[in-house]
Amino acid sequence: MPEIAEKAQDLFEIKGVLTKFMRMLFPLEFRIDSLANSGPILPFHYPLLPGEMIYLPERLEPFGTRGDAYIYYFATTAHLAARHDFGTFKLKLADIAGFEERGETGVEAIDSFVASFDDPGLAGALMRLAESARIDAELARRYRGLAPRIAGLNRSLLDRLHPESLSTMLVRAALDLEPAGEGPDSPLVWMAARHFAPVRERGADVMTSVRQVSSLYNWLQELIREARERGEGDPLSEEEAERMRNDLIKGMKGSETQTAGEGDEGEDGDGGGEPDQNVKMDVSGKQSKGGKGRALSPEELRKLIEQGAELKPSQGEGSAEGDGMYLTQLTGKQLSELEQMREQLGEVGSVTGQGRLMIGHGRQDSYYAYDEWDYVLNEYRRNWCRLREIPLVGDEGDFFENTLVRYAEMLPGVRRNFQRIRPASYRMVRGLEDGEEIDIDRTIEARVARLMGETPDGRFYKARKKEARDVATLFLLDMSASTDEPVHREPRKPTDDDDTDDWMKAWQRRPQTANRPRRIIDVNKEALVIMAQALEEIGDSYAIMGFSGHGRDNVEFYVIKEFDQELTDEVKARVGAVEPKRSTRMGAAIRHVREKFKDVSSRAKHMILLSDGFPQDFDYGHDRRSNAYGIQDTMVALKELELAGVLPFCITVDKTGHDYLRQMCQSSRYLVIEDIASLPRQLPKIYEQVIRW
Amino acid sequence: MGIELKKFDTRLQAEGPEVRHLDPAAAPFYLPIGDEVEIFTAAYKARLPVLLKGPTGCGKTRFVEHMAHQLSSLPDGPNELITVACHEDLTGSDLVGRFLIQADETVWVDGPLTQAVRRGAICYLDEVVEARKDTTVLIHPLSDHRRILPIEKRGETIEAHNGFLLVISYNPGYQSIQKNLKHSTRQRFVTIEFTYPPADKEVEIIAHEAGVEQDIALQLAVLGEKVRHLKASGLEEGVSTRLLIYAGELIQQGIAPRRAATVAVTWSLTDEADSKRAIDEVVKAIFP
Ligand SMILES: Nc1ncnc2c1ncn2[C@@H]1O[C@H](COP(=O)(O)OP(=O)(O)O)[C@@H](O)[C@H]1O
Ligand SMILES: [Mg+2]
Repeated sequence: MPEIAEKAQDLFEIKGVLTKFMRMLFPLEFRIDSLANSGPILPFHYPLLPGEMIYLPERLEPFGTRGDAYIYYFATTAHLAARHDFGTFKLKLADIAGFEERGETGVEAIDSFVASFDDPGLAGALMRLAESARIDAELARRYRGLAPRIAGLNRSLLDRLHPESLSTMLVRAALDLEPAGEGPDSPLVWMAARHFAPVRERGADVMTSVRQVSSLYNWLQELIREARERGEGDPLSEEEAERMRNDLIKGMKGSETQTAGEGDEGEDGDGGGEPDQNVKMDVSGKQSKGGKGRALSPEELRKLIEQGAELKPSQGEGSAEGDGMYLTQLTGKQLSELEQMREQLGEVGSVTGQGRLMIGHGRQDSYYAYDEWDYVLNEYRRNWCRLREIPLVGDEGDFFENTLVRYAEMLPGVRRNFQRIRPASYRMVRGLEDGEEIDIDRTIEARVARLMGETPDGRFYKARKKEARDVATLFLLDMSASTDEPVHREPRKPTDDDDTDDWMKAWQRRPQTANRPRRIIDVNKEALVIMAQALEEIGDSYAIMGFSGHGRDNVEFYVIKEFDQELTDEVKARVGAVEPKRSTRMGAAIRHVREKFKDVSSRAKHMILLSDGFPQDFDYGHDRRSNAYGIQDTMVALKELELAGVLPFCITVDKTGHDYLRQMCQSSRYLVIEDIASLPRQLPKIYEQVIRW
Repeated sequence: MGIELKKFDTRLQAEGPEVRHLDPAAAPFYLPIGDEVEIFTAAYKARLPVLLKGPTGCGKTRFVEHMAHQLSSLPDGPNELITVACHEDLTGSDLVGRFLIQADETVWVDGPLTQAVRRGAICYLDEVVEARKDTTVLIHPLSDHRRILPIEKRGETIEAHNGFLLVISYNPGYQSIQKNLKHSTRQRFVTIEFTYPPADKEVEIIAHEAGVEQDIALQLAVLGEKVRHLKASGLEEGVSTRLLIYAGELIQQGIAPRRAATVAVTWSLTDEADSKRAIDEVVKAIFP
């Protein structure tokens, strides 16, 4: 192609052509947007997210063979759009054995499938790899002119990676590329390619990928386990290396296996005793991507890709910092190198904020692992917290009933107010091809697009549409020891060795039950009783949950009412049974709220957090005396939640609340209640005001 | 014979009617897409005028030819097919006929429409909206129950022969508003809509017409399908089956497929730079 000069290719020059090209191949309404500071990205590095944007590097320096930078844009665009056309997002979780009861589809199905592995990072990477192999193969079949271009491009991109790193080999196996150098391919690639082969066949669909990911995952786990068993001995001799290599390659049929006994990575120093097989594979630190979820805005998606996805050129890297495991120089370090590979592969795609359910032998052993934000390191600590859902045994139901009696005079008014809330409203819907009015903004956009020679989006009408109220709210109750304080007493000023959440001290200070004064927790509970009554009037979906815990391995989460539960006597009894427990590890609890919203389809999702003080736990941060770590982590967790489409609102009865809430959220998203006793009266009003739908 | 007559004859050659004598055995290849053959047959038997609507190059002309030949086997079938390609300068007189000076007398010469009416032909007015407005005056009385043609200049009205049927075509795609087919006209016709054939049928058509391998025909049909998606983003007309056949014919003559597609499809379709480049990239994606 003589017309393509070997100079940098700018996206803006060909954006119009690309858009048309893509719309011809796939009649989908995609748009193209640019990514700053990014080199060419292999398609499999792009997270499997649907959306109307396709992100491409803003500018590419020449690479590979002649014209690769130019071809890159077309091939990558085709690939990303083809995911939609070739059914990547048509996955139904219920089609996978073992998930028959599950309703997730599309990305959510992919996420849940991936999350079901002990090592979701690796599984996620394999899923993206399998899908990209499938799509490349299908593209090559349907578009024979594209086939050599894709292959050539993949080869050029792979040349930029270390040829002998395991991850490169896996990618090569997936994409069916011959080795860079002379000679036959390594048996590892050959083995891996066998796993990938079915997805490259005609008729393969996303379920084929699912199946192959499972088999690949198991194979790699075996590989890793074997490597780990080899221990951390000295570098191996050539001969031994050769033998091990062959061992590695023989497919790890689980031959003479002894149990891998060791497994502490050091990160788990003060852990809760027994080493856990599930987290053994995780490498702490190293990873900091924004939040992720299907509610990701285009901006976030762009950031995500920009931060994580650039391929690092392989030149000039010593073996210590190498890109992975070298089959030719196996040392005792295989384990960490395999883990590096896992990380490289997992980099994009496995982003924090989402919990992983670690299934143990019994219910007690199962827990959710959550990342935590370390503001000092400016990174997430991976799988740092373990959260368990603790069943709550209800009282006799008297608390609920007594509260209704206590507020008997107030209740009718609250109910009346809620009855007045309109069950539907009109809202402006934009982006219509035809409608009531012209949408000026869109019209201007279209004009600009036309002036810039792009194809304008013709949907610039707007209209009023009637929409039903569709709200789901989760009330999250701080059940820390400090809520045991009586309402009318001034909260004690924290001193150096006085920890409001030190449950032992709080416990000791605890007045005797007989005629103890109303405590913060009591007022909170009363507020929830009134709130529940009011919500029954308008039929908004709601859930009530509480949290506490002690240390990062013991975050406790109490479910009082799930979204899909009615306000039954059991639920009422559980409200009564809420009692102060221990600490306030807020971040993990908020991250679990997101999990709780997983199956909620309401259009508007809210969380209302009721607390009495700042986040606190004995190991919440490097310095016990500082609450900055907890506040920062909570702030990040709130952000993640918001990104996932759940709007948080924080209410505190702590008079000093402004100091830290201001850091944690926008001023419009929190409220400090001065008169604690008024909370039951105020909560329904607050609800009315803050709930958007 | 005067010099004028010669001139006139040339004009008649260039723009005048094309007369086909009919024989079912000589019917050109036509691959039915839907029930258009049945509809047309029924319309003919009921003597209902037919409007063929659809973009250029999607088989309307071929369809009429095919049908005329087929229907000629009916006892009261059409005797001829007279096709007029309408254009901006075509007037009512061109269709009806005019007086010509022959030596020193004036001789009336029937126009194509009049010939069709008298002789029981199917008269196909291709792209009828292109013609001058005064043609509609002729079409109306012929296309309702009266089936008559008033010949103003001769103060005469003739009744249509039993075999006569009026068929017009219309491409709603690119006409300006002024050139829309008027409702009073439209509502006198049974309308058969033509679109681009579905991919599998188009493959068959291309293979048959251009004589190319199934494989090439398939790639050309895919190209057609893809390029037609562009219509939503501003291309005036989708690529016609006719252009795909042309590309096939070039390939059959030994031109490389990519090149053939570029000259027959890309360049014929648009002059807009981005679209041209984009279509060419699609061509490159499809043809190895
Ligand atoms: N259904 C069909 N069966 C056979 N040939 C077709 C068909 N549709 C289109 N063609 C081919 O396409 C060419 C162009 O069609 P034509 O009838 O001239 O289009 P139109 O009159 O609609 O502009 C024809 O010459 C014929 O080769
Ligand atoms: Mg025609």
